[in-house]
Amino acid sequence: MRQSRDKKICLVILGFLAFFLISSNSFSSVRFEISVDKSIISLGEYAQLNLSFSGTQNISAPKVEIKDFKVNYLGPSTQISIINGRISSSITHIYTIFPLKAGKFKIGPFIVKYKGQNLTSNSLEVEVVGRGSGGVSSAEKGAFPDYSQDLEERIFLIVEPAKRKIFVNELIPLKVSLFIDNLAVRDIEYPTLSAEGFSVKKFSKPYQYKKSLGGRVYDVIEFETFIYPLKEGELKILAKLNCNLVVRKKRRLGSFPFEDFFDEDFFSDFFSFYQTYPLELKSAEVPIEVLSFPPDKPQDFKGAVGDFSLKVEVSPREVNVGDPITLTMKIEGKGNFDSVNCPLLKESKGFKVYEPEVTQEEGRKVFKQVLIPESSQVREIPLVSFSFLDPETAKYETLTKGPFPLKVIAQPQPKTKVFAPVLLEETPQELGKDIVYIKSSLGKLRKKGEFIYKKVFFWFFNFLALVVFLGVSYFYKHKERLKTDRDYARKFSASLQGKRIVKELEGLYTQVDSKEFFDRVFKEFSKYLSDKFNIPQGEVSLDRIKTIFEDKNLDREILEKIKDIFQISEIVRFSSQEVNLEKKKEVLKNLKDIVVYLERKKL
Amino acid sequence: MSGKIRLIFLIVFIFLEFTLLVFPQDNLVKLELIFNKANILYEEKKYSEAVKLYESILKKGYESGYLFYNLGNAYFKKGELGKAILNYERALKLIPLDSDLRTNYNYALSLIKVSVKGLESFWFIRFLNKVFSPFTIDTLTILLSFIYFSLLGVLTLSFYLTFFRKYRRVIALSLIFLFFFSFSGLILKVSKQGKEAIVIVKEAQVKFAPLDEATLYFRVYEGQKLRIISQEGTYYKIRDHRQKIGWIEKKALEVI
Repeated sequence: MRQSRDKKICLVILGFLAFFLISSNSFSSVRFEISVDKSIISLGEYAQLNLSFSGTQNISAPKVEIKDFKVNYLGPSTQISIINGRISSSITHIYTIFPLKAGKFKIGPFIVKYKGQNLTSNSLEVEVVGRGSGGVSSAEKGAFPDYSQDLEERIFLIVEPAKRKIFVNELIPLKVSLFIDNLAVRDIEYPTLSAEGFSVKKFSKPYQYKKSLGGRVYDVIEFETFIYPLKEGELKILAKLNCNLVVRKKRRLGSFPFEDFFDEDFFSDFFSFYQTYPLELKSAEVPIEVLSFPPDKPQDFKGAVGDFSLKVEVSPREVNVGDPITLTMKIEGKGNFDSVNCPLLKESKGFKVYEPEVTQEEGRKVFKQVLIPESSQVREIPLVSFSFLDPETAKYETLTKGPFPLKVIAQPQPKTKVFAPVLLEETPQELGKDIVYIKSSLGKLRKKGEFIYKKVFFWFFNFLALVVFLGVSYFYKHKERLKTDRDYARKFSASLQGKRIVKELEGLYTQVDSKEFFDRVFKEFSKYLSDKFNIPQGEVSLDRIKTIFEDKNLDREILEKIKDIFQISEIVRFSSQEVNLEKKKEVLKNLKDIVVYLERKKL
Repeated sequence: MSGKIRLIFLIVFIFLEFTLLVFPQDNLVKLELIFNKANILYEEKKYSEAVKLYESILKKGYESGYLFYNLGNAYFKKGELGKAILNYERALKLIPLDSDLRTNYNYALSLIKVSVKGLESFWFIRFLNKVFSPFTIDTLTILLSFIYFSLLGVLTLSFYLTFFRKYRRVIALSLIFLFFFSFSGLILKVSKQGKEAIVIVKEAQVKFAPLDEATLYFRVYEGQKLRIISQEGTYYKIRDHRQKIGWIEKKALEVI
C-alpha cells in the first residue's frame, strides 16, 4: 500500500515537473542565433552551420538556401538545462555548408516564422579560400587532384529538349545529361523534371559515354524521356538529380574533414577513408515556346499531333439485325498517342453505337467499336475520318476510310405467334445494365473496426490451448521417463515416499513402542535414501551417505541429522531401550527436515 | 467467492463473449428501424435521403456488409460512382462471397475510366490476394486458430495413438505450412487496413510534390483505387496500379 502511494506521489511530482517544463518553455522569449564552426573554409571542405533557437523546442528545421553553397540538413540537437532553478530549453538545427566558389560570403540574417512572429538571426561572414591557401603542403597537393576549380564546372546537369518551339500536344524527346569530370559519384537517381504545363513520360535506362567539352573529357550519363505540353505559352523546364559525391578524408590531416575527392587509385592510400556527400544538382531552366493549334481546324480534329496513318477493318460484313459488328480502327505512326482519340463515324444513323475499347502500344493505338444495325435498311458502314496536326508542316491532315458495304438481314419471322414476342423481346434486352437490388436486412452487425484478433478472449483461448498442450506433453514425457529411466523413477518414487513416511510415522509414534517405531524409521528411511541417491538399499550406510554429501557438497547439518537418526535407531533396535516421546518427536522433526531439504535440492 | 466459482464465472463470461456478439437489444431495434426507413426511401428513389440514413448508422459506430452494400447502391443511383465503389469495397471486406455485391461491384468498375482491381506489382502478393479474396480478416483469424488447435491436437494425439505417431511429421509440417501461408494472408489483409483509398471526385491531379503549385505528374479518375504511402498536410502520397508515386489532395480520396 505504502509503496503504491509513494509511486503515485512520484508520478504526480513528475507530472507537475513536466507541466512546468512545458509551460516555462511556451512562455519564455525565443532567441534565434546562427553560428559556424569555422570562419575560413577551403574549397572542398565543409563547415557546420548551426541555427540555434533558445527558449523553445517546437521549431522545425527551416529551409536554408545560401547562394554559392550547397546546404545539407543533418538533424536537430535539443537541450534542457536547469541552472539555479531556472529551466531553459533550446533546439539547434545543424546543417553542413559546402562552398562552390572562393571569396567572402555573408551568411544570414535568416528569418523564421514562429507562432506568427518573425524571428531574425544574426549574420556571419565566411571566407572561402582556394585549396592552395588552405595551408596544405605542396607534397600533399601532388597526392590529390587539384581542386582549385569550382565544383559546378566538374559536375553539372544539362536539359536538352529536341525542339524549343512546339505545338500543344506535340511529343518531343528530351535528354537530361549528367556531366562528370574526374569525380567519384555514386547512388545516381533518376532525374526529376520541374515542368509545369507538360506531361512527362517515364525515363528510359540511362547510357554512358565520354564527351569532350571545352577542352575537358567528361563522363556523360544520359537519360532520355518524352514530353508534351498541355497548354500554350512560354513554358520552362528544369531538371533535378540527386547523387552522392564520394570524398576521401585523410586521417593524418585531422583539421580537414574533406581532404580530397577520389582519384583513380584511391584504394592505394591505406590511411584514407571515404565519405559520401549528398548533392542535389539542378540544370539551368530551358524555355520552350508552346504554340497553339493553327486556325481552320477540321471538324473532327480532337487534338492529335503527329504523323499518323489509319487502317479500318469491319467484321463481319454480313449480319442479322441486332447482331454486333466490330469496327477495328488502327492508328499507326509517330507522335503523341495520348492525344489520339477515336476516329469519327460520319453518320451513325441506323446503328446503335457503343463506346470503343482502346488498346495502346508502342507506335500504335487500336479502337474496337461495336456497332449494332437496327434495321435491314442499313447498306453500309459510313465513312470513318481522323484528323491530326502534322507539327513538321504545321498543317492539318484528314484521313478517311470507307464507306464499307454491309449486308444486314432482317430477323426471320417467327413460325408461331407464341414464340415471336419472346424472341423479339430477348434480343435487344440490355443485360447487366443495372445493379442488383438492395438487401432488406441489416445482416450481421458489428462495431466498427472490431476484429476477433483484437479480442482478449481470442488470445486467452489460444494461450490456454498451449498451456494444456505443454501440460499434457510434460505428463507424457514424465510417464515415459518413469518407464525407461530407472534413476529418474527411483528419485521420483523417493520424493513421493519421503512425504508419505513422515506422515505415517507422525501417526505412529504414540501408538507403538520404541523398538517398533525405530525399526520402521530405519527401514523406511534407508529405502528413501537408497532411492534418493540411487544406491542399492543394502549399501545404505553412514559412510556412503557421508561420501555422497561431500561429493555433492550438501549441508553438513543435515548429514549430522541423518547420523543422529541412524545412531539412535541402531541403539533402540538392538538394545530394546525405551525412549521418551520427546526424543521420538525430535527424530521425526529431523526426518522431516532431511526430506524437505533433499527434496528442495532436486538431486 | 471461492477461487473455483470465480474461475467458472470467468470461463462462462469469456465463452459468452466468444459465441455471442451482444448488442443492447433496443439499440439493435433502432438501427434496424433506421435501415428499413432508408430502404423505403431508396425504393421511392430518394437516394440522397437514403444515403443520409444509411450513413447515420455508420456514425453510431456500427457496420455490416449489407449496410455498405445498400449504401453503395444508393450512391450508384445518385451517380456518385466513386463513393459507390468505395462502399462496395468496404462491403467486400465483410461479405466477400456475396454474389449480388460482386455483380454490382464489377458493374460499377466497368463504368469507370481506369478500371484496376489490383495495386500490387509483386506476383506473390497478387497470388495471396487472389487466394485469400474470399476470406475476411475474422474468418482468416478463425481459420488460423483452427489450424493452430489442430496442430496441438495432432501432437497431443501422437503421444497416445499409433496412427498419429506414424504420420505426425507429415501432418504437423503440412499444418505448419498451412498456418504460415494463412498467416501471410492475414498479415497482408491487416496491413492493407487504412492504406487503400478510392478517388471520389471525377478527376484529380497527382503532383510531384505536396504543394499546391507543384507540377502535375498524372491524373486519376473517379472510382480508381490507390495505395496510400504516407501523408503530409493536406496531401496523401499515393501509388497507382502502374506503380507511379505522387501526391494528391486528401479531399479527392476516401480511405476504404
